Amino acid sequence: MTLEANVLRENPLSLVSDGYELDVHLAWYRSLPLSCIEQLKVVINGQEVATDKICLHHQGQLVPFTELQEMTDDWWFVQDPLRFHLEVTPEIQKNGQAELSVSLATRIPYVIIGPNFPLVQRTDVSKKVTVL
Amino acid sequence: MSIQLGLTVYSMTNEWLSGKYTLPQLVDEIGRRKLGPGIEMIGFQSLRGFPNKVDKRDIKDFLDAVERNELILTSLAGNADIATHGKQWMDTDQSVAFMKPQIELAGEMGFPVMRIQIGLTPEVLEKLEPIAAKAKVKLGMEIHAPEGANTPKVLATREVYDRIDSEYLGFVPDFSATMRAIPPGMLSKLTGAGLSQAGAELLTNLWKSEGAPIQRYLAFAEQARAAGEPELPIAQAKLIFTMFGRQTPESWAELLPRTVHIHGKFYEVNEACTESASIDYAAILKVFANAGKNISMSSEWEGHAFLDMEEQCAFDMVERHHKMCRHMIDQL
Repeated sequence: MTLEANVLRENPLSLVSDGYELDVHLAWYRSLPLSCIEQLKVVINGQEVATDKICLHHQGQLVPFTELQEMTDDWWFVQDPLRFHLEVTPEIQKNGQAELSVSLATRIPYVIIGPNFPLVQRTDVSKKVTVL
Repeated sequence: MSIQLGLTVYSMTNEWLSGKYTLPQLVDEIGRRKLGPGIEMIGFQSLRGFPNKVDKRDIKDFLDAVERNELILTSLAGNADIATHGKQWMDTDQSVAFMKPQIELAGEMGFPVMRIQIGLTPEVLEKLEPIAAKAKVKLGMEIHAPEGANTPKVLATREVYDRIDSEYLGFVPDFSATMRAIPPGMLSKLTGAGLSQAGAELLTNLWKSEGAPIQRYLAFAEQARAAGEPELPIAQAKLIFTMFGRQTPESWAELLPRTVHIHGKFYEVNEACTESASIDYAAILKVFANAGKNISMSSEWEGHAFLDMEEQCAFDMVERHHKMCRHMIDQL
């Protein structure tokens, strides 16, 4: 399993009443603070989910994606998926097929490749999935 | 001198991410295959809750596995996450507060060395030295690509080390800084992602050219875009300029007096286990043969950056690396 292949594992997308839940794994070899997640672009059957419709399930709460940048003391353990809530009108039924694309960009907080310039690791993954 | 072989559990990143092994099971497999005696791991990879909230039971289970497999703890790799916040990087006191619990946990677990990183300024190092001395943990600043023994940041560190002159401040040379070629597997990954042969040649030429790594990458990106190369391999190629450095093997000599551990970085070993295409091991080990002391070296396979677990077993790679190193050490 390469770091790219790790991002979307088996059955990462599931249907809920007001959208989907998406499980995303980290495309890096070690745990990172949530504040290092710079971008998550999700496209389902050609439709991009707006960033303000993406929230993270975290410690029993839904945290808007844009708030993650301040969460420097909360960690994404390298073996765990993060579960995101995507608030969209679901157009795919349970057990239906979807073409899922995810672009994940994480800042690597200790790899400084230029003056005030950290490495941002971008991973693009596309996969045909069955919606659970 | 002698080099004590061993490995870092980081070599088994694919196996770890797959969830196929628990940490004690990984250690048992390392022991079964006799890939020690030295064992190193990355705190933020192998320990949930590192460094402040690690379950004591996880630590005990790991240490029990180390003991029953007769392994020797060499280094706990810490990280200096200075850019944790995208806009406000850590200042001196925040960096010290971030590193302190990592060093203390290394001491509690019995690691003699903590790998630290280049982001730590001389001011931070001065404040960490007494913490390290109290914990009896030697701090080994990893000299990793794109840095090298004589790059400005490392020279600044050498100055502060000379001034403080403490046995608790040292270096961990990582052979990624002294590579002779881009690993063939990495180039295959980029061409597999759509980079043309001409794009791969452009990349290789710019990697071999002079100048700051980021400038060379930006030059590659600009020229590759102009030539119509796809965006994904252009983005992925940034790693080539940060992961693979081009300093000379001989440059390590200046760090020998303060070397506390070595990262035997490698990507491939030839069929006969006598050579590695991207890193000139014969030349590098010859330099460390002059250290006049015993040094531990972790075999650090990083081919998992472009190969998955089904394509290459990390345990096999470390076994082959040990065979190659023994062959070379015998000839020194």
